[in-house]
Amino acid sequence: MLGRNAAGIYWMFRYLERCENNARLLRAGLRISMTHYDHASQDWESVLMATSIKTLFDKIYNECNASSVINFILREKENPSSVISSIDKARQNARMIRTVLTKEVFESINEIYFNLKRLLKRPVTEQSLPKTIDIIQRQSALVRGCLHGTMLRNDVYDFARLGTFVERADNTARILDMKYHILLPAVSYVGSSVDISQWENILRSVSAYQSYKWLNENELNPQGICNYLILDDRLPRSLNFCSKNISLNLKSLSQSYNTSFCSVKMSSGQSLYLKQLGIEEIFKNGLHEFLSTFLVKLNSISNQIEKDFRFYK
Amino acid sequence: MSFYNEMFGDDGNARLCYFKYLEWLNAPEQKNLIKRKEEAENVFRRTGITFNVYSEKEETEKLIPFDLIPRILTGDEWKIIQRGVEQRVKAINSFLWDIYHHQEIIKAGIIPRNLIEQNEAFLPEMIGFTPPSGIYTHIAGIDLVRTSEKEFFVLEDNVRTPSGVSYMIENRETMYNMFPELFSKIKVRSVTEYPAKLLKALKASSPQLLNDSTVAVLTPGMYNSAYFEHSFLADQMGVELVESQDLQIIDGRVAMRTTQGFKIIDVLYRRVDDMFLDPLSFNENSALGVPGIMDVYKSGSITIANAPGTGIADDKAIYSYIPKIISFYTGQKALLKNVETWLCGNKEHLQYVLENMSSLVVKEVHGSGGYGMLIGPAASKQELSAFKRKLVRNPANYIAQPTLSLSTVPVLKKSGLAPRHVDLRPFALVSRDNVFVTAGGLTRVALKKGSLVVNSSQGGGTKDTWILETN
Amino acid sequence: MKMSLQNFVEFQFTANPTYGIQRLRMTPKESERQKILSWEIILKGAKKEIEYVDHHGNVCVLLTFEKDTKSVSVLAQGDIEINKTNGVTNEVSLIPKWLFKRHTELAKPGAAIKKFCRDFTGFTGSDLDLVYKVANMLQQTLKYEIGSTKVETTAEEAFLLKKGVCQDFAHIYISCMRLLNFPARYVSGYLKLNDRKEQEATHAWCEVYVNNLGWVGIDVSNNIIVDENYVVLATGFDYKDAKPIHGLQFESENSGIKTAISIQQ
Repeated sequence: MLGRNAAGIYWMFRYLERCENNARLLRAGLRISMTHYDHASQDWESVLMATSIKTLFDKIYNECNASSVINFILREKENPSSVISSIDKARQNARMIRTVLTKEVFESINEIYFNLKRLLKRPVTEQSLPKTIDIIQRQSALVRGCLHGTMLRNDVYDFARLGTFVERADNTARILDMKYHILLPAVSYVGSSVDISQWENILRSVSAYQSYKWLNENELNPQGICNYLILDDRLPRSLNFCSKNISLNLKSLSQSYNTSFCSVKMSSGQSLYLKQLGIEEIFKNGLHEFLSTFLVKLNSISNQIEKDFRFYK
Repeated sequence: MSFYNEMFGDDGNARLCYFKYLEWLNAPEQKNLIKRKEEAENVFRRTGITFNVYSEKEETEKLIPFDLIPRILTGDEWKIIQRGVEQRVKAINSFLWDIYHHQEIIKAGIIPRNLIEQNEAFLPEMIGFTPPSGIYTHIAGIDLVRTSEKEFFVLEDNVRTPSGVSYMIENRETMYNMFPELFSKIKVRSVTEYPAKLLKALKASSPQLLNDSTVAVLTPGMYNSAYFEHSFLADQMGVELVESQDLQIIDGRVAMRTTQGFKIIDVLYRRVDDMFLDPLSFNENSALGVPGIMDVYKSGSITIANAPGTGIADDKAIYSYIPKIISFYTGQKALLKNVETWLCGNKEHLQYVLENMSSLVVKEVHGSGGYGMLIGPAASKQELSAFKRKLVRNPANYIAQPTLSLSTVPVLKKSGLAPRHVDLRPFALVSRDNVFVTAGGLTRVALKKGSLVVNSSQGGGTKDTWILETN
Repeated sequence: MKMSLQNFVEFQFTANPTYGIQRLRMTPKESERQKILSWEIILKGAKKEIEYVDHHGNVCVLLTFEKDTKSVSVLAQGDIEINKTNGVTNEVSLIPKWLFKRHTELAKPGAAIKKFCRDFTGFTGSDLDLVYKVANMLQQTLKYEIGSTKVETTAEEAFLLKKGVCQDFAHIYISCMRLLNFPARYVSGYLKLNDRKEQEATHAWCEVYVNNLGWVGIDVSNNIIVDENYVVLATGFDYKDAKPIHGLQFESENSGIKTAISIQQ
């Protein structure tokens, strides 16, 4: 396949994942603001921190409240990773590469684009937020379903999955890191209800609250949550799970192309490293340090993928 | 002026070829057919069959309106068209070879030299060069209008990069999906084999015939108004849709960058205009082409379809000579008539045009898409005099034709059926030894009452075109 | 007359170009007036992709840059034999003569050139006389001044300046001769100056087609008559399709160009 098409499908699924991650983030924010109304604006702010684009937000909006945050994340065209920007870019990529997509996948992404464009034409209120988030999640599930149900399991599929997992790992790591920053100055809060609610927020923003409770009953503590989000290879959004899948998809590419690639080596190294790592070790050496290194490595794997498969000229 | 209504005779009775269709249409189940229009539009929108329109505000994607009533032609009517198109396309290819070699037709005094000399579409780079297959225009679209039961006129030849074939196919797909019962009742010739035939024709024109050839479609990119068609054709043929940035010269060949290295392309179906094809040879600032592709081409290692320089055969001034071109190269009389054309560059013609402008259609020689033209009978006095001033300033840039009484086919309105003017663009594929004309074509329809302009850029729509199977 | 020629050109880049491509017309065009005895093009930092003969009969070589190269050099060298033909060339070509009367972008006449040519409309002498007459008049009017114009300067612009280099002189002259209904073309090549071996640059002049005679070489910027000291590299409608090196590169600029030309008898 064309290198440009590989880049197109990779980025299409990165943007689609980004779009969905945003929806998740808002769902968590909404939840927190409903349960902790004393700190409402602070909670909305923490949602922004996780997206690491607070500076941009401050440039555009004066006030940080439910409405401004919701609209910034969902509808703001100046925000390059807002839902509307992401879906626009996902569809642009889909249009560019429609010759490698099945009719079902192309039509589903086209549909989500038109639906979201219509849905996000006017400002979204707190009241209509749950419904909006629902639609975003359902629609992107539809695209994913079409991918799984109709696409050949060939290189195209591998690139789609790579995009998904790279974006997802990046998102989970960033959310953990950002929350860590928020929590850091508040050592005195440890164990307090604010602290717990923040950690709960983390779980919710990666759709892991429910499953965490299945596995850990009601034991919400930072170490347990970090262990779950970083190392548990059953959780589809954990760093370990994503790294494992990045490595698997790259190996599959390497097999079908009958070539060994640099990115395969890098990703399988990363995956093995996470597999043998314990949460105590991470905490001993510093969570922030661990996450920073992880993000750097993830980024260099992504760059290597671009090089190995000739994404660009 | 009276117009030939293709569905109903002057007595108000349906014409034979529409009998079965009308039987279906008049059944009570079809009472709310108009409501299904939206259904068709949703299919088009979801499939992405849109064209981009850029305004100052932002990019918007528009649909070309699709009318649910098919245009039906009989097998016999089709035969006239098919033979005529074949003859025309063959003659145009002979003309192109001659004009880029010995120019016998000029030496014989059939075509005035200045029509070639002054023509920007004439590419000296092509002189003395024969394309790998000997074919210049592989893909042609011939615009026809009908004025009576048996009379078809050619309005325009499109032998550069004719578009619209994707609409022909998607219109049919939509009809198949919406009205499957119709097609079991009425035997309509298929158009869906077009992409396979196109691929075959392209492969047959490859410079290397020993191994299987690699074909690719070159698009200017997704912002081009015909992008859907480019990706549609690449997809249907199962070949790569490439852009400038994917291509470079490797080992003296044109190659595309794939995830597994560079892959040589043997045949490039390009949808990029001549002037943008090679910045080393033509427009230096072009970011849409492939630097050096002309060098590869001239060394015989790639087929470019259509060949550069084919535009010399389809501008509106050369058009008026096509009947002579046909008889010069084939010894036959043109099967399809030309519309009488006055070349304003000619003094006597100009005089005539100025005196009779209110009954003529005046067009730019290189214009397309219905832009920059004047329809005399519909123009106001001010418009006429303004156009006269433009015309006198640069007469050679214009041609004029009588206003034709274009046939009509009804479109579906809330109030029922209403006749609207139509044209027809059949598509021809040229191989070394034959010309294939798909049994069908793109029917464009003027949606405004009385309007004679069918171009989509001017608010025209399309219809599915049915050629009836002759038993 | 036998000659040994060497033309060396080196491009140095500010950054390694991601992709670079050049079309060379650096092989003398063969004709009855010049025969190639031996010729080679040696490339450094670049690879030859294709060699073919273009519509004007010029030998073209297409090259692409090697990956990560900091410079590209071309050495074109060989021996040729120049015959005495009084500056007249005849050749077999499919390009109709009238096409050489078509004005081109760089040699398009404006009001000033048109006015200049009006003086010749009543000319009564032979075609050949007119060919020389216009060249003479231009030579008197124009001043040769290096640096006064650029490569993209048009005939009309240079004519208004009343100065230029060989390229401008050639464009102005072509423009005039086409106005006067002569087929005319641009020639790029070398002029061997007899007092030295190292030459300064490639040269440019014109050829005008005179009926019953052939292409007559005219060099407005020098001694007008093209003799055995001239070596034709390429001919074209104007500079654009006769220039010895034409190329483009991406994400890099030239930081310097070195050239060396030597001609020896």
